[in-house]
Amino acid sequence: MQQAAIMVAGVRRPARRSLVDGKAFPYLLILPALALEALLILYPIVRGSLVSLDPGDGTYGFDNYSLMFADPDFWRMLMHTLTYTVSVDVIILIVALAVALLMNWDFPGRGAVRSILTVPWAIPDVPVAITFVMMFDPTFGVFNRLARMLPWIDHNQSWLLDPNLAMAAVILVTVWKGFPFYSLVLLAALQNVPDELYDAARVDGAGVFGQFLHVTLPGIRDTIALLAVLAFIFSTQQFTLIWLITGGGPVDATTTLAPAIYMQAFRFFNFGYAGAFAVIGFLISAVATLAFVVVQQRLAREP
Amino acid sequence: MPKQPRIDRVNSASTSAGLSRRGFMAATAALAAGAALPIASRRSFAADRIKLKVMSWEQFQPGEKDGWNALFDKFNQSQSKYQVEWTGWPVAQYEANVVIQAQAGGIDADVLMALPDLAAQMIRKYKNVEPLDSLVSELGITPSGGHAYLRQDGKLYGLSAIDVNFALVYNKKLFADAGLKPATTADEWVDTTAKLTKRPDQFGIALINTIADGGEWWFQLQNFCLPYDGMWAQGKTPLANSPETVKGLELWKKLYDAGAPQGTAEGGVMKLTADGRVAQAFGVNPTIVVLKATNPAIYPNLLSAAPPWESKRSLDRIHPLMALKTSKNVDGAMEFIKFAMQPDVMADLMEANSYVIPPYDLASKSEKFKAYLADKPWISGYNEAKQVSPIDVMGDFAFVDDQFGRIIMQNLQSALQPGGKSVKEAMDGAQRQLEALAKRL
Repeated sequence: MQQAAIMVAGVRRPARRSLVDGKAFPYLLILPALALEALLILYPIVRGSLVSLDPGDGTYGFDNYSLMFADPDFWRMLMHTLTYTVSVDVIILIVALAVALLMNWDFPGRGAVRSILTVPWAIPDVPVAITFVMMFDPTFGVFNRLARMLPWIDHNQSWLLDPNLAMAAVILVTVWKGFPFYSLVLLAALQNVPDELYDAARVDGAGVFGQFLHVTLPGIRDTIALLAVLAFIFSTQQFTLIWLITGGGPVDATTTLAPAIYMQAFRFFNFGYAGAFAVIGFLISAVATLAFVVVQQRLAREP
Repeated sequence: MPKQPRIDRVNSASTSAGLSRRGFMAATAALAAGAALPIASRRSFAADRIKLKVMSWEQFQPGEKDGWNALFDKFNQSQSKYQVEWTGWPVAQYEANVVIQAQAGGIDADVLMALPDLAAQMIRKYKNVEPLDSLVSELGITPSGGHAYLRQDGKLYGLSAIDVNFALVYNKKLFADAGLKPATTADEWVDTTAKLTKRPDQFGIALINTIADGGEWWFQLQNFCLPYDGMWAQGKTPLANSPETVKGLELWKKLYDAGAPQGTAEGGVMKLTADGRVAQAFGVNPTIVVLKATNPAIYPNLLSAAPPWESKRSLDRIHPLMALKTSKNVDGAMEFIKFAMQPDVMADLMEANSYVIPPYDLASKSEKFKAYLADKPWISGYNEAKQVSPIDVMGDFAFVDDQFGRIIMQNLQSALQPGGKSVKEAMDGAQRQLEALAKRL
């Protein structure tokens, strides 16, 4: 009996070892995550792509794409998307980096200031949008009160009625709402830059700007690259703030991809056409992610 | 010895030696059975009833759901065959979800409450609703003129559950202070609006004008084809740049320039009006209810006047109850609609929900409703307005009302910019986009 047990154990042990220690084990571990990804991400992408090929009569073809590429509204919307996305991306990173650098300094009350700075990020989009709409009101809004203090402004601005100002307004709100997240991530990265590097730089005669350029920036460039991609993807997908603040207007000056998809699908019931827009949005995000991977690999190869 | 009744045995056991475990169990079981029987019989009674689903947004509407719930309760108590219950979504998601179900082959309900353009789609596009002429005959009622758009080939497919129409709501105190009377012509309207405006303290008129409030803006702006007897479209032909429509929109722009709170969101405009800082609004009758709820002190100052143009035509939005053909209980659906339309039931609903436009001449059939209306001096302007349904002015674009409105508003905005296009040029642009849309209808 004992012998039999030893034999069984002896037979089973290598099999268990091959499962646990073998090459298949990592794949088994990620299988649940992959299955969820396939179900919740991949399947909707495939279904969405198929919907984009249906012009509404149950057949498949490229009619929606032909219509989309011939539609001047689509190209204008794409330009608005790029304007909004690139502006948010650049401004939010500059603001976030500036704030992170300030927060990295040692000063009394730093903890409290850090906590306060996260407030915009913690407030839900809807109250933020409603509050800013009131602040932008041409007659009663606080922005005009502030603007009128400037000597060269002698009349109230119609912030959300002027196409250029409206785009600037939604960019401003998006940056205000989002910068704390980027600041916190950059702050964490800044704290990982070794102090010895700054000491060495100072010994080599580097000033504050020199230290920033040759120590700080190279030390956090991977984080900046990741945040740039995240900011790009998040702002490509931004819907709530734009929709609630401007509704995509005036005219269509702030209609980016996400509001355009929503309008086509759920206001105009052109699901196929909305699907074609969504595929373009997916491709834009995919290209951004790919670019990030390439940049990250290049940076990793650099000494 | 004859057997003692069981209850005595339980009693003797309890009196002689306290309640035994077995006795306690028996008593508990008897009590539980006694308590459960009526519940079970009620449940089986309810389960025996046929469930009727009413698809609507009203169950989510503050100030209205209680009136509708009371009507449901009355129906459920009135007979033993059917039991009515709600299904649906809040109004913002309602139309999209109903259309998706209709496109998928069937709406999961027996009775449908519909917004006007949705009702038109059900009748003309999906053809999935039953005629209600037999109910009208049985009830002996004559549906109001606004029901015209619910007719097809001589048959009536819906009866109004909620009816709202547009008129000029005005603050009589602000008018009296300025020595003015409500306008009766378009030119007078612009003039009084300008005279009643003292920016930023007071505005002559509440006009929704931001595309972020696009739904509300179009709701109001859609009327502005009517001052000069225009239409937005006829069949598949858009008429956005027709002289009548352009003149109507030029009137809107003159009012906007003369005295609207420009760029202010709808919530802000309503608050200003409720605070007595806006002299007039072109709105539906529930506007007064909302203003009263926001600021009760404003209510005595509110009156209405007919639309200030010769025809006095304004949009009338009937939200009908419809019996769905796809229902397994069409008779039940008819039964419910018939019940809701009974004069006393309808009068109670209208009073509970502060509705003022009945589906038929209810005042002649219900003393209660007559008395209720007598207490509403502000309805005279609404009663003077001549009813036109949105479907009558939208042609085949009624099915893409939202998209049509968006195109009009976006182009009109380009005429509102300083140094921007003229209204005619803006509407020429809209016309081109609408013609492209017509090809996809």
